[in-house]
Amino acid sequence: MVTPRHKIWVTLLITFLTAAGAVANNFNPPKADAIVSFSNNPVFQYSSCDIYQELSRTSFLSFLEKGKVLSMATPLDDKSLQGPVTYHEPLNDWARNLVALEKKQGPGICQRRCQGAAATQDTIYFWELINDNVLWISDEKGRGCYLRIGSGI
Amino acid sequence: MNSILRTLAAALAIGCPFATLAAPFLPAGFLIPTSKDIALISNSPQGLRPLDECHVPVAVDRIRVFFFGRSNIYVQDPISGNLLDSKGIPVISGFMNSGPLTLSEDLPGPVKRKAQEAEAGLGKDNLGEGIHVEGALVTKSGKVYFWRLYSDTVLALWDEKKKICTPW
Repeated sequence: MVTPRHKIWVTLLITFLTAAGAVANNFNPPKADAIVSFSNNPVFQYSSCDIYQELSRTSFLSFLEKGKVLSMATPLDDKSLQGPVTYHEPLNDWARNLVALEKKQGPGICQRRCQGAAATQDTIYFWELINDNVLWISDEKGRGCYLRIGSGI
Repeated sequence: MNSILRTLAAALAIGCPFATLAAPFLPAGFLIPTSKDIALISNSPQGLRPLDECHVPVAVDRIRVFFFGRSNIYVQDPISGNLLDSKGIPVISGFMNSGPLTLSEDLPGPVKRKAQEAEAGLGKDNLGEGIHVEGALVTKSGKVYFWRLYSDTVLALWDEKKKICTPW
């Protein structure tokens, strides 16, 4: 039987593990002025619902300059990670139909693919745009963080 | 224009189907870097996010070695997956059966399990289809390329303009 005391212990345990995960991650995103190379990665379409889009170098740098660091331990479905996804023109006919369908039936039909790499003098970083406000950035070991600009939800 | 004409001529010469006719086989402006041009090589992030579980790291020297000679460079038709020689003639049909892919013995647990699952399902010769051994490299001039190792001897290379080459 689950008592209130059990719930408190479970909550404390989850809090501790989350904090430990954040510390172990130990990742600092690069400074914007340290970036010497930047590129989008035109990933192959994994499914017919993927829409490939590019992020400009300027937008990427603004995430590094102004982004608030969210912990790696933050679950993907955390509300702080939710935000608008804008599909930029030009879209081909197929993508335009998908976006129209999504407007009718709600989010989740399209998957925007927007990712790439950037480098400082000595490290390559990988990034992925989660939504218009949130960028994921990590090193090759998988250590990384979310950077959020704007207020989010 | 020259590229299109060469594609047409080569395809006509070998009787290619129209799908191949439409595919570019000489990515204009695509330069394969030499080993001396390369400043940084990196694997893509591994294992810590659910979607990345199938990313498997390899020693970067295994990638660097492809750029020493730069010989036997093939271009991959992005539509069919065929590897084309310098005349646009398909020499390898797609990436299936591209050969064995040797992985490190000391992979992290979840990554190793994923690799074992892929090997059980696809066989060692097709391992590069089921797992992602890939990353990026940066040249001394600052240009970024992306790579993917399909087997011990097949490496695909592309840039942000979606031009794909395959050192073999």
